[in-house]
Amino acid sequence: MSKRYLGIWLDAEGNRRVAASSSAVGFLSRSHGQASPLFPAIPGGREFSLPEVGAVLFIVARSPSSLLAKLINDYGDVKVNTYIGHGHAAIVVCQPSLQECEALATALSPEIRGFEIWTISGGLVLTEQSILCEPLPDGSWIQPTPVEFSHLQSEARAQVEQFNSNLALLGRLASMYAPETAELCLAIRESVAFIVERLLELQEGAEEGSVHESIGLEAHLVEVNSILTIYSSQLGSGSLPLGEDLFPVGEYSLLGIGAMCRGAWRIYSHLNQTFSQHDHAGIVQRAYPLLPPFDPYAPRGRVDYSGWNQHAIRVENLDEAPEAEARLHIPYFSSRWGFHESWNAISLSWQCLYAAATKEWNLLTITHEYLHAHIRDIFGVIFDPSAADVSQVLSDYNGKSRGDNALASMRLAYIEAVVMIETMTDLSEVVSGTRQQIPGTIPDRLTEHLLRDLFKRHTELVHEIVVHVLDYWYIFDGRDDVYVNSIWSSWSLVPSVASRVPYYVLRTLASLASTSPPGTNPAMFEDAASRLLACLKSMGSRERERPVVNEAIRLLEDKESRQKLGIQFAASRFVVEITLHFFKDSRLNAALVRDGGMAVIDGHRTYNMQFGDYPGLVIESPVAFLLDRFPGYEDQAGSERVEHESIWQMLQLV
Amino acid sequence: MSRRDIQKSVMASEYHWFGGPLSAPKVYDTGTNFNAPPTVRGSESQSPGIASPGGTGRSVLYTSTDDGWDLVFDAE
Repeated sequence: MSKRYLGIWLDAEGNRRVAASSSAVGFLSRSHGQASPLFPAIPGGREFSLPEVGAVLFIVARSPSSLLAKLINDYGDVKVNTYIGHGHAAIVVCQPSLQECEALATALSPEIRGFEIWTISGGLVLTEQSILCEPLPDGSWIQPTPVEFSHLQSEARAQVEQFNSNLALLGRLASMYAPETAELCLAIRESVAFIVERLLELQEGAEEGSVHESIGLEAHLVEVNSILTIYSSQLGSGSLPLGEDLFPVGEYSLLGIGAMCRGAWRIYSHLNQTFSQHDHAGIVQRAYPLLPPFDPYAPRGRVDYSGWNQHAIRVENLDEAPEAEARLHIPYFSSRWGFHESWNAISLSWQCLYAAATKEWNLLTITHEYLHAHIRDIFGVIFDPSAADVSQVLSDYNGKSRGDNALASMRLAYIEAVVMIETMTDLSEVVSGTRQQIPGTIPDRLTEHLLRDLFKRHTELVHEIVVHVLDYWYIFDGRDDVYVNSIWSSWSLVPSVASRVPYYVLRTLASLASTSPPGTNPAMFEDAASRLLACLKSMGSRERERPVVNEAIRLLEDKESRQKLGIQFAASRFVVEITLHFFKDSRLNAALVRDGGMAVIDGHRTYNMQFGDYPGLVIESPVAFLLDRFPGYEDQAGSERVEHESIWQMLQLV
Repeated sequence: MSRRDIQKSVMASEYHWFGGPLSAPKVYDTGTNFNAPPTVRGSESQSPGIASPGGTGRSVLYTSTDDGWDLVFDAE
């Protein structure tokens, strides 16, 4: 056993008691009880226990990985009594006395943001012989100013008033414990200020639909407040002095999950910074209106897409983008949402806190959510209503015009994609058996009502395919085995996937087809399907049955299901080709995995780190690091080792 | 492109073209990233059936034999 809980409670006399135990439950049922798990810093090391008489040092490190490297490598007698956990005080050291803890804290002070020392005797915390050194706000911190709201109408005014309070609280906590999130706090403030400006415009003007739009904007304010309160709770959990505030999650109630939040921010911000440097939305906005139109309905036959292979249209070949600002999201943990993207946030599954070192709950899934935000911005620019009037676009589509420029052509290609999806879905539903000839029709003319209906029903699939293709290329470098294993391991435990397995198979086929040799739709489908089948079958030997994986295999082996998928694939391929010909940037894969700390061993780039190593390496690319870890992950959660490795892994990133 | 410009474009386009934010705010739980029902529909579909045989527009022909299948678009 390597997992032990540190727990505290108040006895009948009001004294703080402390103990170590294999369970949190006993602590939590006592007066003011709190607990958190701790693991040996070195796997296989001595499990956490408290000295009968001695002291415990809780360290809030600037960089836990750097400080742990120093502790483990330079303090041989200390390392056996060093433990790691989820909280801001991620490093806990037991020593024989207060003085020794104090001396250690002093020696490590450049690396330490704050610390707390408890002197312990007979299970009692001697508060008068304990030391608190709270983190100070970072010197460079700029506290976001409140957003002016006095002229707003009541609903929005109430939300902005709450927002200002929520942001002030988050700002105070972040300035002390996670100053690297300064830009996030300022960006959220600016986002809300923009919404307020727009609400005031709608209030003062008489624009058609202004009430509807206002309600939508107010919903954004509600969401940002919802996320801010959750994030403040998580990022502020385990703040010093320990035990004063309660994080209301029993398992982590004493030390919180602050270090895990900082790790999540590190992964997210690496993605955000890398994508910002390439500014695809900005390139599309600047360059596409100046480029000649292309044929958005072509290529004829939906087989040869080489007509789209015009050098100048790919985002990677367009202007040298200046450093831009991508929108920022709050990365937080959610058991309700799992991995999810929304306007203000990207959530990570709560299970990552204890099982990120499994294929099921691996942290790379966040890249899929980030890409949703990325392509949401690209399509947002393409459909910016200041440049795209619905009636004009419909007129162009119904007349099979190319539009005036590449931006107009791209809007028409998007419409053609949803029309194709609708057509092929319809056609697939009437197919059964072999030796059939079924004629269908791709409509030439749309009404506004039908267009909006098609957008409503098929936008999800269009976006998912673009995201999958880019994820497969940018993050997984076109590696079938790792990609399929990652996404299907993740989906295998999501209940809603079970009722939509063909949909998930189709999405995966689309991504794999992006590396299939160009050819007819059946040829590309068969290539992608056979590769997917091989990858899924390799997942079949797991200890626990995976019904959705089994169902996906069944669908791919069943002749009629395969026919239906093949027909739907033809429409999906249209979206794959759009992605490859216009939105894929081959520079991004290199930029995302670039890290001077990697070495080439046996032909593979690797960090060459074993679980429990503390080389003091600054991980430049969290994506590369997580990819390097993935093959060694266990298949499923539930073991102490997995939980232990999950913490170790996250601390390497902070 | 500045954050402000992106926000302006995306919020406006999603409102005008897509009927609202593409990923619903978390407070209004839809259970997916989107408001729409599943794309690959079951038999209970209320599809307008725009691909039905006999409609006007560009043709597509599905053919299956014992050896495989094919889709021919813009078939003459």
